[in-house]
Amino acid sequence: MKHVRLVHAGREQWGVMTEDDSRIRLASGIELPFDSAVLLPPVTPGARIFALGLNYADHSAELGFKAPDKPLVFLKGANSLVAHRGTSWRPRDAEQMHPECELVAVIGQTARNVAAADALALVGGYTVACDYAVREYLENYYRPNLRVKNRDALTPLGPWIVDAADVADPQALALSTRINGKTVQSGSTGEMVFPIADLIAYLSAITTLEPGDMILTGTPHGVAFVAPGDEVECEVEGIGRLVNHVDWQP
Amino acid sequence: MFAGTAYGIALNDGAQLSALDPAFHEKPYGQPPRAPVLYVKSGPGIVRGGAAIAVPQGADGLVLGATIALQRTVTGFGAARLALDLAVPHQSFFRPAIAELGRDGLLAVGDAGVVPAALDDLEIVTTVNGAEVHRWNLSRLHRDVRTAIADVTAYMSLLPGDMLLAGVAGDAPIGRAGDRIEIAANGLAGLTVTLGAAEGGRP
Repeated sequence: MKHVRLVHAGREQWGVMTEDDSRIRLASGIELPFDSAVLLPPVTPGARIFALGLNYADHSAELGFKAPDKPLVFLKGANSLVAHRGTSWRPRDAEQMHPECELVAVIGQTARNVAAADALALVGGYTVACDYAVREYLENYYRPNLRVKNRDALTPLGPWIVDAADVADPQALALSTRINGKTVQSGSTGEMVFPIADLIAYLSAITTLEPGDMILTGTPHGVAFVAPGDEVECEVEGIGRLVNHVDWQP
Repeated sequence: MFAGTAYGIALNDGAQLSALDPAFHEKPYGQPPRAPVLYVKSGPGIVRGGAAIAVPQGADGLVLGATIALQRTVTGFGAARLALDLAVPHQSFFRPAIAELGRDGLLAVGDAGVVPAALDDLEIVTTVNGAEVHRWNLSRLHRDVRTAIADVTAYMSLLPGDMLLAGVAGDAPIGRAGDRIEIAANGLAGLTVTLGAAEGGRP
Protein backbone atom coordinates (compact mmCIF):
# COMPACT_ATOMS: atom_id res chain seq x y z
CA MET A 1 0.00 0.00 0.00
CA LYS A 2 1.12 3.54 -0.80
CA HIS A 3 0.07 6.32 1.56
CA VAL A 4 -0.23 9.94 0.45
CA ARG A 5 -0.85 13.11 2.42
CA LEU A 6 -2.84 15.84 0.74
CA VAL A 7 -5.13 18.79 1.16
CA HIS A 8 -8.70 18.14 0.07
CA ALA A 9 -11.94 19.91 0.92
CA GLY A 10 -10.19 22.36 3.19
CA ARG A 11 -8.28 19.96 5.39
CA GLU A 12 -5.25 17.78 5.58
CA GLN A 13 -6.02 14.14 4.82
CA TRP A 14 -4.21 10.87 4.21
CA GLY A 15 -5.22 8.55 1.40
CA VAL A 16 -3.98 5.43 -0.32
CA MET A 17 -3.11 4.96 -3.97
CA THR A 18 -5.26 2.74 -6.15
CA GLU A 19 -3.61 -0.32 -7.68
CA ASP A 20 -2.63 1.48 -10.92
CA ASP A 21 -1.31 4.59 -9.10
CA SER A 22 -3.79 6.82 -10.96
CA ARG A 23 -6.12 7.74 -8.10
CA ILE A 24 -6.09 8.48 -4.38
CA ARG A 25 -8.69 6.79 -2.19
CA LEU A 26 -9.57 8.80 0.93
CA ALA A 27 -10.84 7.35 4.21
CA SER A 28 -14.36 8.48 3.23
CA GLY A 29 -14.19 6.28 0.12
CA ILE A 30 -13.97 9.28 -2.20
CA GLU A 31 -11.44 8.87 -5.00
CA LEU A 32 -9.48 11.71 -6.59
CA PRO A 33 -7.13 11.78 -9.58
CA PHE A 34 -3.52 11.71 -8.36
CA ASP A 35 -2.35 14.09 -11.09
CA SER A 36 -4.41 17.03 -9.85
CA ALA A 37 -4.25 16.38 -6.10
CA VAL A 38 -2.73 19.00 -3.80
CA LEU A 39 -0.05 16.83 -2.23
CA LEU A 40 1.81 17.45 1.01
CA PRO A 41 5.08 15.84 2.07
CA PRO A 42 4.06 12.44 3.54
CA VAL A 43 5.34 13.22 7.01
CA THR A 44 3.70 12.79 10.40
CA PRO A 45 3.46 16.31 11.87
CA GLY A 46 6.01 16.67 14.68
CA ALA A 47 8.08 13.70 13.54
CA ARG A 48 11.83 14.11 13.57
CA ILE A 49 13.79 14.11 10.34
CA PHE A 50 17.27 12.60 10.61
CA ALA A 51 19.59 12.76 7.62
CA LEU A 52 22.89 11.10 6.81
CA GLY A 53 26.02 12.58 5.34
CA LEU A 54 28.74 10.54 3.64
CA ASN A 55 26.82 7.26 3.85
CA TYR A 56 27.98 6.04 0.44
CA ALA A 57 31.73 5.51 0.08
CA ASP A 58 31.81 6.68 -3.55
CA HIS A 59 30.13 9.99 -2.62
CA SER A 60 32.59 10.52 0.27
CA ALA A 61 35.52 9.96 -2.10
CA GLU A 62 34.00 12.39 -4.60
CA LEU A 63 33.87 15.08 -1.88
CA GLY A 64 37.40 14.33 -0.68
CA PHE A 65 36.44 12.68 2.60
CA LYS A 66 37.10 9.23 3.99
CA ALA A 67 33.96 7.31 4.84
CA PRO A 68 33.20 8.08 8.51
CA ASP A 69 33.76 5.50 11.28
CA LYS A 70 30.35 6.25 12.77
CA PRO A 71 27.21 7.57 11.09
CA LEU A 72 27.30 11.31 10.34
CA VAL A 73 23.78 12.33 11.31
CA PHE A 74 22.11 15.72 11.26
CA LEU A 75 18.54 16.87 11.89
CA LYS A 76 16.14 18.91 9.79
CA GLY A 77 13.08 20.99 10.52
CA ALA A 78 9.67 20.76 8.85
CA ASN A 79 10.38 24.01 6.98
CA SER A 80 12.81 22.11 4.76
CA LEU A 81 10.20 19.77 3.28
CA VAL A 82 8.25 20.17 0.05
CA ALA A 83 5.89 17.72 -1.64
CA HIS A 84 6.14 15.82 -4.92
CA ARG A 85 5.72 18.23 -7.89
CA GLY A 86 6.75 21.11 -5.63
CA THR A 87 9.25 23.88 -6.22
CA SER A 88 12.69 24.27 -4.69
CA TRP A 89 14.45 27.61 -4.79
CA ARG A 90 17.98 28.23 -5.96
CA PRO A 91 19.45 31.22 -4.13
CA ARG A 92 20.42 34.08 -6.43
CA ASP A 93 23.98 34.22 -5.11
CA ALA A 94 24.71 30.51 -5.47
CA GLU A 95 25.42 28.30 -8.48
CA GLN A 96 26.41 25.03 -6.83
CA MET A 97 23.04 23.57 -5.82
CA HIS A 98 22.79 19.83 -6.39
CA PRO A 99 20.18 17.15 -5.81
CA GLU A 100 20.83 14.10 -3.63
CA CYS A 101 18.50 11.13 -4.14
CA GLU A 102 17.93 9.20 -0.91
CA LEU A 103 15.92 6.27 0.38
CA VAL A 104 13.97 7.31 3.48
CA ALA A 105 13.10 4.84 6.24
CA VAL A 106 9.96 5.76 8.21
CA ILE A 107 9.93 4.41 11.76
CA GLY A 108 6.85 2.33 12.62
CA GLN A 109 7.35 1.51 16.29
CA THR A 110 9.20 3.03 19.23
CA ALA A 111 12.88 2.18 19.02
CA ARG A 112 15.18 2.53 22.03
CA ASN A 113 18.48 0.67 22.39
CA VAL A 114 17.63 -1.68 19.55
CA ALA A 115 20.13 -4.22 18.26
CA ALA A 116 20.82 -3.99 14.53
CA ALA A 117 19.54 -7.55 14.08
CA ASP A 118 16.10 -6.46 15.33
CA ALA A 119 16.00 -2.98 13.82
CA LEU A 120 14.49 -3.46 10.35
CA ALA A 121 11.34 -4.90 11.91
CA LEU A 122 10.70 -1.44 13.41
CA VAL A 123 10.53 0.29 10.02
CA GLY A 124 6.95 1.02 9.00
CA GLY A 125 7.56 2.23 5.47
CA TYR A 126 9.81 3.86 2.93
CA THR A 127 9.75 6.98 0.82
CA VAL A 128 12.10 9.06 -1.34
CA ALA A 129 13.85 12.34 -0.59
CA CYS A 130 15.89 14.76 -2.65
CA ASP A 131 18.21 16.31 -0.09
CA TYR A 132 19.49 19.36 -2.00
CA ALA A 133 22.73 20.99 -0.91
CA VAL A 134 24.03 24.46 -1.77
CA ARG A 135 27.78 24.10 -1.68
CA GLU A 136 28.65 27.82 -1.52
CA TYR A 137 27.19 27.93 1.98
CA LEU A 138 29.23 25.07 3.40
CA GLU A 139 31.17 25.96 6.52
CA ASN A 140 33.26 23.64 8.69
CA TYR A 141 31.05 23.99 11.74
CA TYR A 142 28.63 21.14 12.43
CA ARG A 143 29.12 20.44 8.71
CA PRO A 144 26.90 20.00 6.76
CA ASN A 145 25.58 23.17 8.37
CA LEU A 146 21.95 24.23 8.39
CA ARG A 147 22.43 27.05 5.91
CA VAL A 148 23.23 24.26 3.42
CA LYS A 149 20.80 21.59 4.59
CA ASN A 150 17.82 23.22 6.28
CA ARG A 151 16.74 25.84 3.77
CA ASP A 152 13.02 26.19 3.13
CA ALA A 153 11.67 23.71 0.56
CA LEU A 154 15.06 22.25 -0.35
CA THR A 155 14.12 18.76 0.80
CA PRO A 156 11.49 17.36 -1.56
CA LEU A 157 9.86 14.26 -0.02
CA GLY A 158 7.43 11.71 -1.43
CA PRO A 159 5.37 11.16 -3.42
CA TRP A 160 4.14 8.57 -0.89
CA ILE A 161 5.12 6.14 1.84
CA VAL A 162 5.24 2.48 0.77
CA ASP A 163 4.50 -0.09 3.49
CA ALA A 164 7.67 -1.84 4.63
CA ALA A 165 5.88 -5.15 4.06
CA ASP A 166 5.83 -4.35 0.34
CA VAL A 167 9.61 -3.84 0.15
CA ALA A 168 11.41 -7.19 -0.03
CA ASP A 169 14.97 -5.92 0.53
CA PRO A 170 15.52 -2.19 1.21
CA GLN A 171 19.28 -2.71 0.81
CA ALA A 172 19.03 -3.84 -2.81
CA LEU A 173 17.20 -0.97 -4.54
CA ALA A 174 18.47 1.03 -7.49
CA LEU A 175 18.35 4.78 -6.97
CA SER A 176 18.88 7.50 -9.54
CA THR A 177 18.51 11.19 -10.23
CA ARG A 178 17.68 12.77 -13.57
CA ILE A 179 17.88 16.46 -14.43
CA ASN A 180 15.66 17.22 -17.46
CA GLY A 181 15.77 13.52 -18.29
CA LYS A 182 19.55 13.17 -18.12
CA THR A 183 20.84 10.75 -15.48
CA VAL A 184 23.26 12.39 -13.03
CA GLN A 185 23.17 9.94 -10.13
CA SER A 186 22.94 6.18 -10.27
CA GLY A 187 23.59 3.76 -7.44
CA SER A 188 22.20 1.05 -5.21
CA THR A 189 21.08 1.13 -1.59
CA GLY A 190 23.32 -1.94 -1.22
CA GLU A 191 26.28 0.46 -1.21
CA MET A 192 25.42 2.23 2.06
CA VAL A 193 28.34 2.44 4.50
CA PHE A 194 25.89 2.02 7.39
CA PRO A 195 22.77 0.08 6.33
CA ILE A 196 19.36 1.09 7.68
CA ALA A 197 19.47 -1.48 10.49
CA ASP A 198 22.80 -0.09 11.72
CA LEU A 199 21.48 3.48 11.53
CA ILE A 200 18.45 2.60 13.66
CA ALA A 201 20.65 0.77 16.18
CA TYR A 202 23.04 3.76 16.35
CA LEU A 203 20.31 6.38 16.70
CA SER A 204 18.20 4.37 19.12
CA ALA A 205 21.15 4.19 21.52
CA ILE A 206 21.22 8.01 21.51
CA THR A 207 17.54 8.93 21.46
CA THR A 208 14.10 7.38 21.37
CA LEU A 209 12.82 6.95 17.83
CA GLU A 210 9.05 7.26 17.53
CA PRO A 211 6.57 6.23 14.82
CA GLY A 212 6.70 8.69 11.96
CA ASP A 213 10.33 9.68 12.50
CA MET A 214 12.26 9.60 9.26
CA ILE A 215 15.83 8.67 8.41
CA LEU A 216 17.18 10.04 5.11
CA THR A 217 19.85 7.45 4.49
CA GLY A 218 22.36 9.34 2.34
CA THR A 219 23.19 9.58 -1.33
CA PRO A 220 25.58 7.94 -3.80
CA HIS A 221 28.10 9.81 -5.95
CA GLY A 222 27.14 12.20 -8.71
CA VAL A 223 27.27 15.95 -8.02
CA ALA A 224 25.45 17.87 -10.79
CA PHE A 225 24.22 21.42 -10.41
CA VAL A 226 20.67 22.54 -11.13
CA ALA A 227 19.39 25.75 -12.68
CA PRO A 228 16.02 27.51 -12.54
CA GLY A 229 13.63 25.82 -14.96
CA ASP A 230 15.07 22.36 -14.41
CA GLU A 231 12.89 19.36 -13.67
CA VAL A 232 14.56 16.98 -11.24
CA GLU A 233 13.44 13.38 -10.71
CA CYS A 234 14.71 11.22 -7.86
CA GLU A 235 13.69 7.60 -8.14
CA VAL A 236 14.15 4.63 -5.84
CA GLU A 237 13.26 1.29 -7.33
CA GLY A 238 10.00 -0.09 -5.96
CA ILE A 239 9.39 3.01 -3.80
CA GLY A 240 8.60 5.91 -6.09
CA ARG A 241 9.65 8.68 -8.43
CA LEU A 242 9.82 12.09 -6.79
CA VAL A 243 9.55 15.09 -9.15
CA ASN A 244 10.69 18.59 -8.27
CA HIS A 245 10.99 21.89 -10.11
CA VAL A 246 13.77 24.41 -9.59
CA ASP A 247 13.12 28.13 -9.66
CA TRP A 248 14.89 31.28 -8.52
CA GLN A 249 14.49 32.13 -4.89
CA PRO A 250 12.03 35.06 -4.78
CA MET B 1 6.37 16.52 23.77
CA PHE B 2 6.80 19.64 21.66
CA ALA B 3 5.82 19.39 18.00
CA GLY B 4 8.11 22.25 17.04
CA THR B 5 11.82 22.31 16.41
CA ALA B 6 14.30 24.19 18.60
CA TYR B 7 17.41 25.66 17.00
CA GLY B 8 20.41 26.34 19.20
CA ILE B 9 23.23 28.70 18.30
CA ALA B 10 26.69 27.38 19.19
CA LEU B 11 29.64 29.73 19.73
CA ASN B 12 27.40 32.73 20.39
CA ASP B 13 29.25 33.81 23.55
CA GLY B 14 31.52 36.61 22.32
CA ALA B 15 34.29 35.81 24.82
CA GLN B 16 34.27 32.12 23.88
CA LEU B 17 34.37 32.98 20.19
CA SER B 18 37.38 35.28 20.70
CA ALA B 19 39.23 32.67 22.76
CA LEU B 20 38.74 30.04 20.05
CA ASP B 21 39.58 32.37 17.16
CA PRO B 22 43.19 31.13 16.71
CA ALA B 23 41.97 27.51 16.53
CA PHE B 24 39.28 28.48 14.04
CA HIS B 25 41.95 29.59 11.57
CA GLU B 26 43.42 26.06 11.66
CA LYS B 27 42.14 22.78 10.25
CA PRO B 28 39.51 21.52 10.09
CA TYR B 29 37.79 24.92 10.33
CA GLY B 30 39.95 27.12 8.07
CA GLN B 31 38.16 30.32 9.01
CA PRO B 32 35.86 31.53 11.78
CA PRO B 33 32.14 30.88 11.31
CA ARG B 34 30.19 33.35 9.18
CA ALA B 35 26.56 32.21 9.47
CA PRO B 36 25.15 31.35 12.91
CA VAL B 37 26.36 27.85 13.89
CA LEU B 38 23.11 26.01 14.46
CA TYR B 39 22.08 22.69 15.94
CA VAL B 40 18.66 21.10 16.29
CA LYS B 41 16.75 19.76 19.27
CA SER B 42 13.30 18.26 18.72
CA GLY B 43 10.92 15.45 19.62
CA PRO B 44 11.91 13.68 22.86
CA GLY B 45 14.92 16.01 22.98
CA ILE B 46 12.65 18.71 24.45
CA VAL B 47 11.10 18.42 27.90
CA ARG B 48 9.35 20.76 30.33
CA GLY B 49 10.41 21.98 33.72
CA GLY B 50 10.14 19.31 36.44
CA ALA B 51 11.63 16.64 34.21
CA ALA B 52 14.24 14.14 35.33
CA ILE B 53 16.94 14.17 32.68
CA ALA B 54 19.34 11.27 32.16
CA VAL B 55 23.08 11.80 32.15
CA PRO B 56 24.18 9.28 29.52
CA GLN B 57 26.40 6.37 30.47
CA GLY B 58 30.04 7.23 29.93
CA ALA B 59 29.50 10.98 30.34
CA ASP B 60 30.91 12.67 33.44
CA GLY B 61 28.10 15.17 33.44
CA LEU B 62 26.21 17.61 31.25
CA VAL B 63 26.96 21.23 30.33
CA LEU B 64 24.28 23.37 31.98
CA GLY B 65 23.56 25.89 29.23
CA ALA B 66 21.18 28.36 30.87
CA THR B 67 19.64 30.53 28.18
CA ILE B 68 16.46 31.98 26.77
CA ALA B 69 14.27 30.51 24.03
CA LEU B 70 12.27 32.82 21.80
CA GLN B 71 9.28 31.02 20.40
CA ARG B 72 7.81 31.74 17.02
CA THR B 73 4.07 32.23 17.35
CA VAL B 74 1.66 32.98 14.55
CA THR B 75 2.16 36.69 15.13
CA GLY B 76 5.95 36.72 15.48
CA PHE B 77 8.61 36.02 18.10
CA GLY B 78 6.43 37.24 20.93
CA ALA B 79 6.93 34.48 23.51
CA ALA B 80 9.97 33.73 25.63
CA ARG B 81 10.91 30.85 27.92
CA LEU B 82 13.82 30.15 30.17
CA ALA B 83 15.70 27.17 28.79
CA LEU B 84 18.31 24.72 29.99
CA ASP B 85 20.20 23.77 26.84
CA LEU B 86 22.20 20.70 27.90
CA ALA B 87 25.11 19.06 26.13
CA VAL B 88 27.49 16.19 26.62
CA PRO B 89 30.79 18.09 26.83
CA HIS B 90 32.55 18.14 23.47
CA GLN B 91 35.45 20.13 22.04
CA SER B 92 35.04 19.63 18.28
CA PHE B 93 32.59 21.75 16.32
CA PHE B 94 33.42 20.15 12.96
CA ARG B 95 30.67 17.55 12.57
CA PRO B 96 27.03 17.60 13.72
CA ALA B 97 27.11 16.46 17.35
CA ILE B 98 24.04 14.24 17.48
CA ALA B 99 25.44 12.06 20.28
CA GLU B 100 26.31 15.13 22.35
CA LEU B 101 23.25 17.29 21.65
CA GLY B 102 20.54 15.00 20.29
CA ARG B 103 19.79 12.86 23.33
CA ASP B 104 16.41 12.70 25.01
CA GLY B 105 15.77 15.54 27.43
CA LEU B 106 18.77 17.68 26.50
CA LEU B 107 16.56 20.76 26.25
CA ALA B 108 14.29 21.73 29.11
CA VAL B 109 12.05 24.77 28.74
CA GLY B 110 9.95 26.74 31.20
CA ASP B 111 6.54 28.25 30.61
CA ALA B 112 6.24 30.86 27.87
CA GLY B 113 5.70 34.50 28.81
CA VAL B 114 6.18 37.88 27.25
CA VAL B 115 9.66 38.73 26.01
CA PRO B 116 11.54 40.69 28.71
CA ALA B 117 11.93 44.36 27.80
CA ALA B 118 15.63 44.34 28.72
CA LEU B 119 16.32 41.22 26.66
CA ASP B 120 19.87 42.27 25.74
CA ASP B 121 20.76 42.86 29.36
CA LEU B 122 19.06 39.83 30.87
CA GLU B 123 20.92 38.20 33.74
CA ILE B 124 20.42 34.41 33.93
CA VAL B 125 21.32 32.59 37.13
CA THR B 126 21.98 28.87 37.54
CA THR B 127 21.60 27.25 40.94
CA VAL B 128 22.67 23.66 41.66
CA ASN B 129 21.41 21.98 44.83
CA GLY B 130 20.53 25.38 46.29
CA ALA B 131 23.86 27.11 45.62
CA GLU B 132 24.43 29.64 42.84
CA VAL B 133 27.07 28.24 40.46
CA HIS B 134 26.81 30.49 37.43
CA ARG B 135 25.50 33.86 36.35
CA TRP B 136 25.77 35.46 32.96
CA ASN B 137 24.32 38.35 31.05
CA LEU B 138 22.96 38.17 27.51
CA SER B 139 24.98 41.29 26.71
CA ARG B 140 27.81 38.77 26.20
CA LEU B 141 26.12 37.36 23.07
CA HIS B 142 28.05 37.69 19.82
CA ARG B 143 24.74 38.04 17.98
CA ASP B 144 22.04 39.51 20.18
CA VAL B 145 18.71 37.74 20.03
CA ARG B 146 17.06 40.01 17.45
CA THR B 147 20.14 39.90 15.21
CA ALA B 148 20.26 36.13 15.51
CA ILE B 149 16.60 35.86 14.50
CA ALA B 150 17.23 38.06 11.46
CA ASP B 151 20.38 36.17 10.42
CA VAL B 152 18.79 32.74 10.81
CA THR B 153 15.46 33.54 9.18
CA ALA B 154 17.35 35.03 6.23
CA TYR B 155 17.85 31.45 5.04
CA MET B 156 15.29 29.31 6.85
CA SER B 157 11.84 29.94 8.26
CA LEU B 158 11.01 29.26 11.85
CA LEU B 159 7.45 27.95 11.91
CA PRO B 160 4.90 28.66 14.66
CA GLY B 161 5.92 26.38 17.54
CA ASP B 162 9.62 26.50 16.64
CA MET B 163 12.09 28.07 19.06
CA LEU B 164 15.41 29.83 18.74
CA LEU B 165 17.80 29.39 21.67
CA ALA B 166 19.96 32.45 22.22
CA GLY B 167 23.20 30.61 22.97
CA VAL B 168 25.01 29.30 26.03
CA ALA B 169 27.91 30.71 28.03
CA GLY B 170 31.35 29.36 27.13
CA ASP B 171 32.01 28.93 30.85
CA ALA B 172 28.71 27.16 31.60
CA PRO B 173 29.08 24.76 34.55
CA ILE B 174 28.77 20.97 34.53
CA GLY B 175 25.90 19.21 36.27
CA ARG B 176 26.05 15.63 37.49
CA ALA B 177 23.58 12.84 38.21
CA GLY B 178 21.65 13.65 41.37
CA ASP B 179 21.83 17.42 40.90
CA ARG B 180 18.77 19.63 41.14
CA ILE B 181 19.14 22.51 38.69
CA GLU B 182 17.23 25.79 38.90
CA ILE B 183 17.38 28.54 36.30
CA ALA B 184 16.09 32.03 37.01
CA ALA B 185 15.90 35.42 35.32
CA ASN B 186 13.83 38.52 36.02
CA GLY B 187 10.46 38.52 34.32
CA LEU B 188 10.43 34.87 33.28
CA ALA B 189 8.89 31.80 34.90
CA GLY B 190 11.58 29.76 36.66
CA LEU B 191 12.75 26.37 35.46
CA THR B 192 13.78 23.41 37.61
CA VAL B 193 14.97 19.96 36.53
CA THR B 194 16.88 17.10 38.10
CA LEU B 195 19.66 15.07 36.55
CA GLY B 196 19.64 11.31 36.99
CA ALA B 197 21.67 8.31 35.94
CA ALA B 198 20.75 6.74 32.61
CA GLU B 199 18.75 3.54 32.92
CA GLY B 200 19.76 0.58 30.82
CA GLY B 201 21.05 1.46 27.42
CA ARG B 202 24.25 0.47 25.79
CA PRO B 203 27.27 2.71 26.38
